[in-house]
Amino acid sequence: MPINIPDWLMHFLQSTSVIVLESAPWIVLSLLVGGLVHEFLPDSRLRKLLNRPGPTAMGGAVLLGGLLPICSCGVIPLAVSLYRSGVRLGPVMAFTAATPIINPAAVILSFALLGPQITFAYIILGITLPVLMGYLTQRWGEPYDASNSGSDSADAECNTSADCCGEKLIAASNTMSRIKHGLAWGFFTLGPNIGFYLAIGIALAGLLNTFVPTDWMQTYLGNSSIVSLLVAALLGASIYVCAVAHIPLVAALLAAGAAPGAAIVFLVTGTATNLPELFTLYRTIGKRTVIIYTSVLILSSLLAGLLVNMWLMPGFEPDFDPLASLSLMDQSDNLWWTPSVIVKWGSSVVVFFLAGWGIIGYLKKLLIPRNINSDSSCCGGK
Amino acid sequence: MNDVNKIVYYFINGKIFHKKYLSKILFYVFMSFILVSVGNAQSITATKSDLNSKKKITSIASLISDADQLVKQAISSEANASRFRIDATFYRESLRSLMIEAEKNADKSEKSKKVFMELVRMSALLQSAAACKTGRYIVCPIELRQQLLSQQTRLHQLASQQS
Repeated sequence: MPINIPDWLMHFLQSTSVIVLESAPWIVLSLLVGGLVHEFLPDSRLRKLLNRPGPTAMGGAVLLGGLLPICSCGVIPLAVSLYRSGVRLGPVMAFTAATPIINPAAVILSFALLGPQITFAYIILGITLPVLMGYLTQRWGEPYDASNSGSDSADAECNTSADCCGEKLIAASNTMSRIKHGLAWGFFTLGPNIGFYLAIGIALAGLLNTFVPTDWMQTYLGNSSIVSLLVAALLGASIYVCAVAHIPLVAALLAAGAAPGAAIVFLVTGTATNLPELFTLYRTIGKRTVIIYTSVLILSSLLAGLLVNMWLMPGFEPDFDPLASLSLMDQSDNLWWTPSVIVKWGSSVVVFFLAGWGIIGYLKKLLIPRNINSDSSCCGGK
Repeated sequence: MNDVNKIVYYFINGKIFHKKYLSKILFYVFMSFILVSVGNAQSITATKSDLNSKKKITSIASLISDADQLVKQAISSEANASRFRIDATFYRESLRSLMIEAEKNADKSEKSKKVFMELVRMSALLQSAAACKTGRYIVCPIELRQQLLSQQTRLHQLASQQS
């Protein structure tokens, strides 16, 4: 007997699987880099730079983020890894916001398709917003946790006593064993830890995609009113948007008469964050930080959108040299990694595996109360 | 116990990073990445030879009708992913050679620039569609499908104005 699956459920499954397939390669790559960062950062100069007071740390975090071509879902493991490697909250949040926005491939593609004015506004906002966010989260975000510094953090977050003992057993002596140790931390400690929250965030984003009207982009990006800008900002901050994939869409909308301010609002809020990222940051870093992060992002992009509308409207039409644009699009393609189907599916399996592991760990914690004293005695004994 | 059983046993007991099995897992992951990169390199070579074998497009009208075909395939969700990628790349290369040709003939009128700009946008949308591969077929999100269709309409309107 054929099973009738309701339309909304089919749409939900389709949206969720697309988000998983698109974001999984970046998550896996970020776990890999995050593991190495956790292993090598504590005794590196970079950590000292990122922990300096004043603008150097924020500038360093923004520059570091700008150099990495990673999307918003992929930046989460790396950001959590930086935080757990002892980097202060401000630079971590500046890095988290800057990485997907000032992505070199996105900036070049924006110049090619959206024209110099919008790209200029995009870059200015992409630099000032993370710095502002860094300062505000540093000032009013979750207080600095001393146990967060260096390799001690691994002990603070491991789920089982076996994890703690195991990590202490593997004494990192040479580079090869340090790489192994770092990768093990990335995939077997950080992975299950954030995999669970990522899974919930991705399911929420899939649900949102299912129930948001399909023509919302035309409706809200085509209008320059403040309500439209606000809706574009809220939806942009919730759904999964990858700058490189969405710039052609925004370019087509602008050509059809969309407001340039709405395009900026959508691109910045969309690329900077999404539900999986917000949910994971909420559970791993803290509620206050996420509230500051989201409100600063939405309010600043709204302000920027209004200013851009005042500057470029009415009668804005993106102007570019078509031949030069094609060359720039080639450059952007060269800077951007488009994962093959095998990589997408393989990484999705890894993400599912980590999410499953995280869910089992969470249920275990929920059902079997942990004896903290026995854990510490185990680690202490080793 | 065989390797897989041991790995599962260690996984369940939270000892997955046991030195012996971790190195094995890392080895498998490393080998699979090598296989994937070899596969990618082969598909790039195949793309180049496929592009050379295709017939050259020599007019804007045929480029627009080519775009129609590609849009139709992209929204059908039944287009073969690798075939579509080759076609989208061919479309971009044809557009480039047409623009170079137009520049040589000193055709720098505002009207032809506008058509070329729309064609560049269409090419960018088609490249985005080519990246939407979730398996054997291209499955584009609904927003991209809508934009492909409206870009197609805009192209036709502009072409009819020009003629």
